Amino acid sequence: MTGRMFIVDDERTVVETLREILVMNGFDVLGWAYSGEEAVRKYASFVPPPDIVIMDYRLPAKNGVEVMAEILKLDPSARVLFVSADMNARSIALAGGAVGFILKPFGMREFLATVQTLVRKDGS
Amino acid sequence: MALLGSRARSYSMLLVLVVACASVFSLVSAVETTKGPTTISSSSFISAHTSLQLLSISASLSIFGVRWTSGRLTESLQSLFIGGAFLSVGLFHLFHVLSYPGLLESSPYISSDVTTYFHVIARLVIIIALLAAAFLPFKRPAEVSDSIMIILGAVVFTLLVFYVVVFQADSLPSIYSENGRLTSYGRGFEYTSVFLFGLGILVYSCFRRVRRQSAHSYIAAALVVGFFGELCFSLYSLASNLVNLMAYCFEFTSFLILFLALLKESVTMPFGWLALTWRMHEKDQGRLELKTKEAEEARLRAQAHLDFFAHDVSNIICPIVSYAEMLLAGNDLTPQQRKHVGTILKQAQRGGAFVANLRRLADAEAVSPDAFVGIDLGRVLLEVEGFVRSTHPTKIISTTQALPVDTQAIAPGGEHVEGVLYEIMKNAVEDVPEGPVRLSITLRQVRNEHGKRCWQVCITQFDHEFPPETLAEARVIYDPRWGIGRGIASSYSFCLSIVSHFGGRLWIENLPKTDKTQNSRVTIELPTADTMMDLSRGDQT
Repeated sequence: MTGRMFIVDDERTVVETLREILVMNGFDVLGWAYSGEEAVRKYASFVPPPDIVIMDYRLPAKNGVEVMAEILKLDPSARVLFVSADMNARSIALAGGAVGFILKPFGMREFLATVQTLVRKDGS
Repeated sequence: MALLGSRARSYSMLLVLVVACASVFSLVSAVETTKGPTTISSSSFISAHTSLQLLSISASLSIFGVRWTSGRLTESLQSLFIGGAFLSVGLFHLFHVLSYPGLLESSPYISSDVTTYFHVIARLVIIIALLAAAFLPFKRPAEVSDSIMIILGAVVFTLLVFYVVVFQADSLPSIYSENGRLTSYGRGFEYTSVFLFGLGILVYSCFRRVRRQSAHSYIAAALVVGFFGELCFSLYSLASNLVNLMAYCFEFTSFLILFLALLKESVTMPFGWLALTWRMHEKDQGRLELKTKEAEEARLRAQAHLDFFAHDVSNIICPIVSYAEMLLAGNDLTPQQRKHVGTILKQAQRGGAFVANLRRLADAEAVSPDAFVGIDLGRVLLEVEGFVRSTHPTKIISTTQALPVDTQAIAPGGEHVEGVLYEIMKNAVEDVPEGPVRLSITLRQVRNEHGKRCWQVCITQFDHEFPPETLAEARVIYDPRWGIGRGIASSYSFCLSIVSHFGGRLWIENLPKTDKTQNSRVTIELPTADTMMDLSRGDQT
């Protein structure tokens, strides 16, 4: 199973971990961003766009939902998977157009299972 | 200082009053002595007498009225007693005026003796009542029964005196001769009255120092004025003398002072305290609102700090868990290393669960019961099961379900209950590291121990048992019968809120062991709710 991924998180260790997990399991990580503005800028430069954007909720300056709204404005077909320690962000993210939500802290297995499910749905 | 000032003022007031009364009295006496008794015409005297007496009657009945209508504003038995006595005094003065020569002369029962008796008795009642009141407990609360007894007593006493004076006048000694002068009995009554007023001044002056009641100052002042009035009454040689008219003026003035005393004690002071209390209440209300606002701001700050804390700790734990899982998934570890990495993973997961639960508990505290909207438990159970399956694709999960087919199982709790059900199923799946997970989910309506209808969700896990410490922690936290504690094992904390607000129970147990297997079960009972109205009312058990 493969897919193009884009990681947005302000925590460098988390970005590194997610990148390693995805690469080890055959996914293609197109890039990563540590802030909302960087994320929107980079997303606009991807051709073709990533299959899934893995988005943290708590980001500097703009939160993940605001960044997702800007990305969806650029590309209404974008699919954003939220990862957050804030359970309350779940309903906000899903209402804002996210396709999934994982509560931090999560493990590799839970994360992979969710990503694979989303990629499978996308493929079907 | 305020007390000293108040006492000094009342002393000054008394002194001024004594000097003023003594001056007036001396002046009138001097005129009477040097120029002989000053007599005014009969018609003028009757007009002046009737007017002054009507004022005195008004003052007497006002004294009674103020005390009677102020009811429970004041709790003084003493003032109630004085009020009751003045009902009699007012009536005696009324009888005195009505029986005065020139008003009801046609009645065979009316005579100058009757008229004078009513007036003398009225004054004796005043001074005896005031002397008796001085020895009544000032602070003793007056009950309703006290009021009734005193009023009844006053009315009965007045009627009795009226009967004796009017209809048994022959049996009483004559106190007023037909030539317009008092007899020796009459003089005796007057001197007794003067003596008693003097005694009253002494008593109230002493009590005023001991009890420090402002009403006592007023009563003492009234007695001073009344004393000079009595002196005037004892001095006149003819009823139409100026000194007699002067006595009525003193009498009315003393009634007025007593009225002010009762008004102050029964109305002014209680309303003053009420106004003061109201101002303090308003200040306290303002302080309370400020403190509530500060507390809410502090709560929000704490919540924000907790959010950052949870976020940062989660970001720390995420890589630990993921890398530990990566290591365990590989084949490079020795059995000893695998064991150690497994411990790291388990402890990191516990840390993550702790942070998540801490946040849930904080959220549960912040959530208003109004936010616990109704949900269909049957639908939610199916959705949660599907979600758990999708997030654990490598697990073999087999479930049997027994859900209501033709009815919605509506219960309060909204998405919070959904979160709890997700936690239960997720834990059930993750507690089994290898092999299939077998679950049985049942939802049914039962009556709880209080006889109230509720929905019961049972999630039974086969081939699994809870460790004793988990059972103990869960029991302490979630079962109200064991008291609600809040340990670190704060999973399902929303249910705690739901249980607190709506009633219900949540408990875990290991089922009786059979030969082949040991099963465990989590049970949630939530009150049934048919409509939103039911939810907002809170179907408490």
